Amino acid sequence: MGLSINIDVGGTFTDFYAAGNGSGTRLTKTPTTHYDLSVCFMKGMNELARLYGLPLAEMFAGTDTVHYCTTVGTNALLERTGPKLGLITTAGHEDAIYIGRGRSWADGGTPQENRDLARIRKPEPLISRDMVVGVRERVDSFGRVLAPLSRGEVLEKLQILVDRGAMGFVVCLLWSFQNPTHEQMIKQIIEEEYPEDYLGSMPVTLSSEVSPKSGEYTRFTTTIVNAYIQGVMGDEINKLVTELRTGGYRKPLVLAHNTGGMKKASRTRAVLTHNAGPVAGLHGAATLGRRYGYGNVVFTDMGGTSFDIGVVTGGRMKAYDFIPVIDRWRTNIPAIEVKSIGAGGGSIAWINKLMGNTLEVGPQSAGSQPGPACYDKGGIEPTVTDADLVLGYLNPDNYLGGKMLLDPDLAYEAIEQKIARPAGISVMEAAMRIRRLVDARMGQEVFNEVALKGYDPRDFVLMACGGAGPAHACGFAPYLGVTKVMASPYSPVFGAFGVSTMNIQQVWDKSRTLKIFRWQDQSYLEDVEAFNSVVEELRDLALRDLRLEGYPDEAVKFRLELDMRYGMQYNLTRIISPHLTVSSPQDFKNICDQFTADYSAMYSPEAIFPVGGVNVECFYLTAWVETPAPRLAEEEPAGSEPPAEARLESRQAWWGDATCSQNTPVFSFEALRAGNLVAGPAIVEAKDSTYVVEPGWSLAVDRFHNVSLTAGGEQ
Amino acid sequence: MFLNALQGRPADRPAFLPLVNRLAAKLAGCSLQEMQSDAGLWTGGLTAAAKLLGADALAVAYDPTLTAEGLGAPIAWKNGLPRPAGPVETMAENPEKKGRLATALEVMRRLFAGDSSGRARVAMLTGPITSAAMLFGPDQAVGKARDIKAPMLRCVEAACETRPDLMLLMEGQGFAAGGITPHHRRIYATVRNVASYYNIPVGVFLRGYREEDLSGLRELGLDCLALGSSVAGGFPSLETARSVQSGGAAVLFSLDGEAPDKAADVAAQAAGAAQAAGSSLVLIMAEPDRSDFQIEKLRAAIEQIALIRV
Repeated sequence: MGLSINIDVGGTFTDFYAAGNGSGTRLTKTPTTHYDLSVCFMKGMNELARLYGLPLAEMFAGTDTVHYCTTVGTNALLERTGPKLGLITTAGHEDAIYIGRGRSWADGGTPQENRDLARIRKPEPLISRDMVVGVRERVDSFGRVLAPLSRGEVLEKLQILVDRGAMGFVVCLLWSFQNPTHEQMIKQIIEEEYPEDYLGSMPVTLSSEVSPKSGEYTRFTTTIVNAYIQGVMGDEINKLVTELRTGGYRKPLVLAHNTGGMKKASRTRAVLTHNAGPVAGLHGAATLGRRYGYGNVVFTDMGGTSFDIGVVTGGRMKAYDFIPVIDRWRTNIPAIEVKSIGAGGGSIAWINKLMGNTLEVGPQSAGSQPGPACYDKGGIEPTVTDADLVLGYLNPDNYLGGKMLLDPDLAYEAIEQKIARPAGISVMEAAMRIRRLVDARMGQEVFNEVALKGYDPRDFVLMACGGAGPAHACGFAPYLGVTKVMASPYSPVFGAFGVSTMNIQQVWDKSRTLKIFRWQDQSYLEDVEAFNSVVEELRDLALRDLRLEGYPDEAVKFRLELDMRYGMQYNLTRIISPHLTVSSPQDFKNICDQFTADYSAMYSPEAIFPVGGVNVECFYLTAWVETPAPRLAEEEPAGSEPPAEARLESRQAWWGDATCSQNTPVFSFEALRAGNLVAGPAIVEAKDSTYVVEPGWSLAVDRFHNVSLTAGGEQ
Repeated sequence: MFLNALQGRPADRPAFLPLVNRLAAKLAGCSLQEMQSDAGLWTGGLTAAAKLLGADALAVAYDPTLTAEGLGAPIAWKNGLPRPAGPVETMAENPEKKGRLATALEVMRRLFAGDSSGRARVAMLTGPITSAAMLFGPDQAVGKARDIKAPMLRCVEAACETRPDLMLLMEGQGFAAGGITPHHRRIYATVRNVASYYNIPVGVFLRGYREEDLSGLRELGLDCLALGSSVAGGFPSLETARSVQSGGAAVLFSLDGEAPDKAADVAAQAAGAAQAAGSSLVLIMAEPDRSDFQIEKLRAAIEQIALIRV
């Protein structure tokens, strides 16, 4: 069968996308069981097997790969279920992680929390102060040892941590990314004292291995977060692997990374799995966009809990998250930027009494348990899904292909009691306001994301993904000024689809400051070895790693990116280096020219500042092995008129100002054919999603069964 | 063994689920009231009972008054047994944290977490209709089930969080009198939805029913349904027990705990009939209602039942 099974864990649903040679694609969604992710994982696998008409063991036997976007690590961080760790750092800097950067108290806080200055508090640290010890040692910014490390002192401090209950060690010394010798010595001492074959052996994590980059606060927190979630993740992933193996799948489990690639679970750093699902979706959007020749794509994914936004320019994911925050911790992982806000189908609508009884939607979500009121799982708070149901857009008997029955009475009652009655408006008006409000929030956020990056949103194609995306696309697209929205038949499980488009890939990064252009003498750096040695070091690491993944060196491709700046600018600009290695000052000139061109495009040609000289600050080597892109099945065009079998029973739905309902045509998405056109107002029901075609919009199906929603009737 | 039988998989003998409460207290060496106030005694008593009886599944909280008390119904102890003592005055907001129900949930947590005995784990709660009957009186039970929905779901969710293999809701006299109504379907649909999030099948153990009220029970879509004694005191035939199952090939068949000496013969006949019909069989025996039952007689009967082979 050659199946590839791809899974994305979301806040409300866990999505599955499977594709194979000649077996066709199958999609399914199952409520995320946060208490134990393996439950929804196996439920979904069983459902996929049922859809393929096979016993589970037979499906697994025909499966080549299982790719997984997991939230296990993030959950462990949020729920604080990690182990008690001890931190060994340079003496005198024991409080670095508590002092943080200037505004670290605001990292990861919501805007409302951050405005409440009187009450905002720094988060509870992952390592308590009594579990931090300092050792006398010092390495300078050039990597020279100024004060050697004492074995005796290390042993003494180690014992303090062990006596206080440490179950693992994190070693973070100043400038260790320039010279890791002292960190490596400490690791050796720990391994000698607590050998692996003894019961007392404990894991040791070095900052020079996890995050060899400058900036001790972010380097330390990245290392601490990785160590904190590593053990919990390892246990959960092993449990899953055991279940898969018992079920008949005996190949490796592959995890998606937030850097835009994926690797075997056994070769994945825990901290790289955070937010991998949305990044996978963005990757899917970039891949689909390239297939259509769209270089500029705005990716949106409206799920049950959150609304994710990402930007693709020139056919690539170029925007990196600037010192990304994981929970409340600033890290320095080279993660792709995908912004999330609390706006989804499960977002709770509520009346804000402190703000003059205004209607608000989210960021709280009803999640998968109890879920929206209409899920009839005990939820009593009205949500966006409840509003969509009451307005007639969702079919209560055909939600998720009929797997879940919705109760419109419960939805109506929840909106009436919690919103309509307190606000003194009708239930329909309340439902429409809930919908309009969430669309406005999403639309504004998408606009901000694109415009603040310096782009004109009208130059982009908007892709509406996620289970609820197609139902709200017509509502939030106008905020960008776009009149065309694209949606894929895989929209409901787009994160899982996106994983299937990713390559086996990792980013290897290292800080090294090199002044490659000096204004004073208008000269370019001559020491090519200083540049090449960093690249070679990263390349060796990448090749060794990918060999262990089972790939020959010839199959590995590389791309070098550089963080650069003029003089001592605060912000860095990342460029794709025109050279992997350099052989002469001319090559450094080419790099500077590329930097100048990118900087000018971003900030305008007047903003360049070569007087300050040009520095390279950090190297990012992306190494990947191409995996075949998913094939999209093509259909013969069938004319604009939908076939009779695509037409379902019309129903009453509320449009505009919701003063009266309208008998609205309903279509089956699966029965529509390439070339068919549906004019709004209309509803198109797919197995795992619903397309709401608002008045003034039309829906067209193309030869790949992708959908474009267009305003004004243009195609 | 028990779970396989519940899913209709064939086995060489019927699975056995004893429902005990006072027996556990006897084995724990204390009164029922003392046992139900102490999670340690209760855990020990149930474990001892399960071992003594060779149970394939362990049921916790087989006592219809527990949920009602948690929901706010006053309970009186008479002759060492709890009885509802009148209608509810104030419904409890957090029933899962109240009194004996909270203790029962703690027992579930202790017994179900990391249990390595191989026994299936069965969480028992009083069903919503019978709970409403205890709180508001039997005449208002069906109509008032909606009023107790929110606290009832808290109890269901709390029990689900202990990760049992099966949730069995106890329903009594008046449950299906007058047929299955939309009220029944709604509340049970919600209970099933909550339990399905935890991947836990839901069943009902029904007693005090009338034969003519059984036909509509399939509409509830339960994963299994076990019939105890009817309002007339009799036990259903295997055919009747099969007819009320919504789906699957498992039959839950109740044995009369008051007549343990006949139980083995009845069980053997049922096992033969089930096999002939292609169904797997789960035998359920609730402990006798009277407090002076003889453990040895019960045990001897169960030993005979354990020898049945199909």
